[in-house]
Amino acid sequence: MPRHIVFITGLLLTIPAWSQLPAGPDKSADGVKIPGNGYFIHLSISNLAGRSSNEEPDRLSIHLLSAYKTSKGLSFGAGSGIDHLEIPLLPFYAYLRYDPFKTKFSPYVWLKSGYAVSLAADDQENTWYGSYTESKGGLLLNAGIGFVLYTWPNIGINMGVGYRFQKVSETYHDYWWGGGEDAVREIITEFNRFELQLGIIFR
Amino acid sequence: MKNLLKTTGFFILLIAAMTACEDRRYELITYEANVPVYMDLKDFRNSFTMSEPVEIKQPGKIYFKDGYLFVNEYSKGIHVIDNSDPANPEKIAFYNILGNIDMAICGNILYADSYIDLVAIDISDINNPVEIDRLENVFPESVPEGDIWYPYSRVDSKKGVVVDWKVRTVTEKREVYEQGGWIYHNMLTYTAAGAVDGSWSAGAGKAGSMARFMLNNEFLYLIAHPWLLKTVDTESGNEMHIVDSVEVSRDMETLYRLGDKLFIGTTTGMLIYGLNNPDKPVFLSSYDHITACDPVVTDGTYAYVTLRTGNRCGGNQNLLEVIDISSITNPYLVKSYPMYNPHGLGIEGDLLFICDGAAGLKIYDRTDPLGILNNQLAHFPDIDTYDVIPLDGILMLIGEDGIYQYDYTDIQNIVLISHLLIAGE
Repeated sequence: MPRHIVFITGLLLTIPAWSQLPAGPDKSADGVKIPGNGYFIHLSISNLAGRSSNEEPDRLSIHLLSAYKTSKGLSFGAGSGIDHLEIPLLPFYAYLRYDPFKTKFSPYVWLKSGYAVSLAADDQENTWYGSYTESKGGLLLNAGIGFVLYTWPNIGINMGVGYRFQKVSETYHDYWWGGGEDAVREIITEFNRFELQLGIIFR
Repeated sequence: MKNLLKTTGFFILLIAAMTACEDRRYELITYEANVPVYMDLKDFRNSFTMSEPVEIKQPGKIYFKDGYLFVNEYSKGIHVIDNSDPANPEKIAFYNILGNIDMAICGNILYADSYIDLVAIDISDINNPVEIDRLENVFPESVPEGDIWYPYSRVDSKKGVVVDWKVRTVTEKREVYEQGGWIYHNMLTYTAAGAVDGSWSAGAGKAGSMARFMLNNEFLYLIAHPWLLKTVDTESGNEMHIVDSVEVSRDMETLYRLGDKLFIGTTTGMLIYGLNNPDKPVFLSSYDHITACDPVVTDGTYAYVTLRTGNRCGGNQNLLEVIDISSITNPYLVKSYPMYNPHGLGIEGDLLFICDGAAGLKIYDRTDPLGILNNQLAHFPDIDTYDVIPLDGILMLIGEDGIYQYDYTDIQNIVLISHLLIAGE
């Protein structure tokens, strides 16, 4: 089974266990009132680290999402952002999050799933063996675990770690001097990255 | 202290997680290619049969033994021709041997390649041949030739033996820039067309000059792959086994044996191997030439090599080269002669026979190696020739439009005595 499926499945399996924990008070011990249900915006910046045979270095990812949190601690939303994994990408994704506690320091798990669109220009770079034609984005999957610290009633800062899967492809045409059409070569990269996330949440 | 341990552990886990993830990169390549058509291995290995004579359509190598002429039908099998009267050759049978290109006969045993296998067929009764042994996967990468204008897609040997190709659009998943970025799978070994030759061995027949098989008493040398020479022990007749494999760093094309020397024609030169231990050929020397296909024959003092253009071997010159091999470890070029498009060749006595492609058959007196072209004895320009077997005054020649036989007992009066037509000619 692919590594990212195992990871995300494992993370989701922890949700029932978290949900068995007692719900915390709406107001933490130091007097900061923790918001219950409602909309929030989450701006985050992540470092995507991992090993790459293509010498693709660690990359930064900036995401902005809007979500609605229910009184049960579940949040649903959608977001976008700017990524750069081999090519610049514009991701669109659905967001699911679960906060088991209503405390000033609140751990949570999250899941993102969507599609990233390539922002790279489709150059026509001709070489001796063919030409570059287009690049495409692909499936985005992201899951992680983190915490949010509400230092003010409507603003929290968060930190999290997770796993990011992103598929991208670049298509080339190889010249073939014999019969038939040129060969179409689609080079596909599946990024499996460890995500270290920092962010800020506005309620 | 406890907090320090926790913090240290956390960062170790973090670093481990950051380096554990690895990107995966591959490519999908879509192209029109020769796609293999497979035949089940069991069916393939039970496919040898004999049938009534059939038309000769695409003749390949020729072999003569005990009054019979064996003519390869490219990739299909072997025509058996009763040539006891060369003026009236008569087709008497056809041996269906799938993927056959080469052959050699020792005693009553016919050795023939059949795509990936080597088969031994008892022809004691020429009309009732019996397959007595099969050495499997001797030529593991041998496949038929497809449409040369298209690349070749991958072969999965688990699906059976490749017996044909169809041009189709395929999508393959592979490592990025596998094969260096080229989509042409050039590791395949085509069952090369052409003709054969070789020298006499006790009980063996005689072939043309483009043989990939060569007998040496009970040992059969064969080019199993352009870079691999295998030695097969055939002593027990019905139980062949490989006794030696030699990797050669050149593209081998043809084999020719004289005494205890094996001459290997390669695309870039001639190699000489010693056969003092016939089960283990040992490299002695080499002679380099331009890149080209090059059948070779020799009388022990001089080796005659033809180089030609217009084939997959590459090359841009058509030559006859005469090489002095009297010092076997130091062969050197005596002289090169321009030719039209020379293919197979043969020698007998002072005569040199050259199949010069569309320029026909040329016969020379080779007494003076420095003046061969000045000593042309005969020229038959109206036949497109591949290969010859000169034997006891009868020249057996395979050409584009059939099998010709000439009587050259009187060199001043060479007479065409028979011509077996190829279908459609």
